[in-house]
Amino acid sequence: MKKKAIAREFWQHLVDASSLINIQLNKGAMILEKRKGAISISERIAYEVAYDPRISKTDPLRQFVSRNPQVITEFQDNEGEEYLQILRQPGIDPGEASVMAIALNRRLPLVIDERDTKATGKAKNHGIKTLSWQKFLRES
Amino acid sequence: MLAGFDELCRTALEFENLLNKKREVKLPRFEESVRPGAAARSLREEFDVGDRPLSDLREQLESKGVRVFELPVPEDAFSGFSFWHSEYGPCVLLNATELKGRKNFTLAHELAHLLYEHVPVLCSIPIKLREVRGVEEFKANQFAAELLLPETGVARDFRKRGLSPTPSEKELGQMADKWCASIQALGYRIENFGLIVGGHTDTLFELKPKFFKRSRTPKWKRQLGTQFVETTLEAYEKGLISAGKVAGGLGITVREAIKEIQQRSKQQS
Repeated sequence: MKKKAIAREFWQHLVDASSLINIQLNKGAMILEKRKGAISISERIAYEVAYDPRISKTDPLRQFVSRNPQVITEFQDNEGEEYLQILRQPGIDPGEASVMAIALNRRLPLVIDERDTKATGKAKNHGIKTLSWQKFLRES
Repeated sequence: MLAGFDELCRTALEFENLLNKKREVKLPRFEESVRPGAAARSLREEFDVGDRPLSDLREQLESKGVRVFELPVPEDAFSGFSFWHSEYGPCVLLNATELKGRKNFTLAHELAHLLYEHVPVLCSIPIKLREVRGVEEFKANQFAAELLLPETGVARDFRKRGLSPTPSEKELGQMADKWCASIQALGYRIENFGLIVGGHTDTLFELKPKFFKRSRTPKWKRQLGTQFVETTLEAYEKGLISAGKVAGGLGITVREAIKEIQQRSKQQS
């Protein structure tokens, strides 16, 4: 059982801002701590959930990201260009575009609000494996 | 500031396109030869308000295809700005930090520039309207006064209130509030009708300048307008945009956007 839990955390997931917020709102920040080894976020998502100056210092996600800066991943190789290309598509915001670019390049699954059909559809069109935040948590 | 305004107009158009909503512009245009009073009266007829206060000018204009946004202008550098864009259509920017009545006057002023197709300029409407410079600015002020403060209705209201020829700023303020105009605009207007003593408005301003100054910056919903907020949330509901895009469009954080979405969802269910 323990072996399985360790193995699972080797499989990184890119997580978008609304999924992080929904997880924290519905299940609490502790669950994020528990799964932090599986969570990877772009710099843009880190800004949206933690470093935006309008976000309170006591915000649970701000504290989570501050405690675990290793979850933030920078663009590598051609991910910056990919990001700009995805961002050009209507209905996609910079946060989503950034995690989609990384997920696409590194072939990682993307935890995205499944309600966001347009973005989810676009991610799938790009060949990215997507899953909802609920499904991501069920894996724990 | 202007880049932020352009961004809002562009975002509004993007969401409308996603929703396949075609924005129809139903604004008349006037030749320069048309007097501001005649133009204002024809518009009041179109709004079907008779000589009553025009309390919903922003909503009326938005329903006619005009995009209206409010943004706080640093150091009150200007009161308003408007332009016709080939894609966005007619757009108006108002200084969000100004008082409600003054903002409404600026909106009517900017509307005049749109209707007469004046060259876009940043309009700084002086506190003392008599200090206005330039033919187009003067014309826009005349139009705004005629549109918001129709002679018959205002004169009747003044008499009904039994006000003296030297009303207090409180009395003028209450009346201006009803007519959705600034105290100064109302004061000058009724001075022109001969209902109050000439120069009384300036005297009031000089005695109590604070009374005429700024209000608190309105909340983001008021700044962006109901129509834009509704369009944005509708696009989200239909799965066309994400919560992050909602946040970007409304200029709030993703967490605030999710809260707004949840509140709307609760209201609807």
